[in-house]
Amino acid sequence: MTLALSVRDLTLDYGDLKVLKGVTFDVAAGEVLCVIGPSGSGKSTLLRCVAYLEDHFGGAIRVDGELLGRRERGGKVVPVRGAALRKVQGKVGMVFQHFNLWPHMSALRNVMEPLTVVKRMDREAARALAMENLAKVGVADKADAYPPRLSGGQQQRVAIARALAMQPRVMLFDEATSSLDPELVNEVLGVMRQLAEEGMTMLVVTHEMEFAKKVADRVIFMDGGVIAEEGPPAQLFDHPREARTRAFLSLIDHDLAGDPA
Amino acid sequence: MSYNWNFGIIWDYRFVYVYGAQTTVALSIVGAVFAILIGLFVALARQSAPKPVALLASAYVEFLRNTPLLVQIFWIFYCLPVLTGASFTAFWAAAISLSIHFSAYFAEIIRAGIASIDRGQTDAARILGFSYAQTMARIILPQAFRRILPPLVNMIADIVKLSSLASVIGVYELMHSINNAIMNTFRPLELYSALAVVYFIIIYPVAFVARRVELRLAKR
Repeated sequence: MTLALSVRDLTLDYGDLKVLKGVTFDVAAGEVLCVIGPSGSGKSTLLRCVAYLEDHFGGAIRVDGELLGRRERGGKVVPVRGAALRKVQGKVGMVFQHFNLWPHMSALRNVMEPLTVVKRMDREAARALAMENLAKVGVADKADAYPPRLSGGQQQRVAIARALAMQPRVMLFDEATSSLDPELVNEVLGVMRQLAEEGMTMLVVTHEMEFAKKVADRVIFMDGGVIAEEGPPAQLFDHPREARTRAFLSLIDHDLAGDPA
Repeated sequence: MSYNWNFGIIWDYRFVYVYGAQTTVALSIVGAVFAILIGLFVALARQSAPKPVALLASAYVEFLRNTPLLVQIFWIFYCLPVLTGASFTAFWAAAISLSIHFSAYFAEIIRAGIASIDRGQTDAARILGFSYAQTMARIILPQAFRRILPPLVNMIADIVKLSSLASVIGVYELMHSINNAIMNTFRPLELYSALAVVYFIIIYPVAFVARRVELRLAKR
């Protein structure tokens, strides 16, 4: 089994505030790993490190076996920048809580732009690939619409298409449904589930416990900047070993009490 | 008061207005183009360059904003040639002065525009593999431009107005040309009134076009 992603002893602090205190885990190719935990536990920061949107972390992140943002030289680890960094970073795709589509471009241009600018594809090939990915997430009919005219669910699906078109090795989802109206959540979760079934390697930070239960191969519960518990969803949700996992899950269940999810 | 108006004098001096206006417009265009380019460069330096360069850029902005344009014009026309041996025509001395003076204001406007764009826009570009320059050119600046268009246009109007200061070093733009005409004719009321109208005719269309562009961008 090849490792798509390996994270070793990851630490990150902002001055005195230690956000990540030594996080170690692997994601195998084709595996779906969900990360759950209370806000402030470091889940999103973890994802931002793997995307190299935070660069001052300690420890090591490997994507497809290659060190991210660092290089070993003479036994020492030194930072890399520019094209060498982007080569590894390009193997990671990310979907954000707030979509982060570019509002001055149509949905189609949003997907085409990285293809033409970064991959230097010609416009026709980029357009074809972009349309293919928009169709895959079910928004091909919105190709010419500008993001502000799309619903949250449509925007997030365009954002997924934009990330997929770059053919990443690993897809990161940072609370991809948290800013959606409740009735739009399922259309995005459906796309994510479809990706998982197609064998996409996924690292998913989520508050959707049902999704984690049904789709994840493994679940990590984070608390206070460390992995507090890790296991298959059946074990972690139904027989949590740690008291703080139980406390967190009971809070979530309480939240969901009135919700038909 | 029985002043004897003679509006015919304006017609007699129509070519002075036209030539003056040409120089005023040329001075303003050169000034605005270079001011915006330098301003963009300084804004990016303040935001993303290593600390010493960023501090230098801040000092540049503060110094230029806190000294009078008139002094800068005199200094560049009279002092800079003495210090460096390079001398400029009055036109270019004025154009350079306007460029650097207004570049400080443009730098501030552009910096604020860039800062107003959500952090997530840059995050998305970076994770998709855009370099810094590509992110700026394709994602951030096009969005920032829409937001800073109104203050940008105000500044361009200010450049046209303050280009009249070039008259003090003898550039034959509108102000200087009409001052000369008045010395010959002793007709300040007619000629200055018409001068104000000519400035208005130059500046108003700039604001008008900007307003239309803004509305068109907002429609999308």
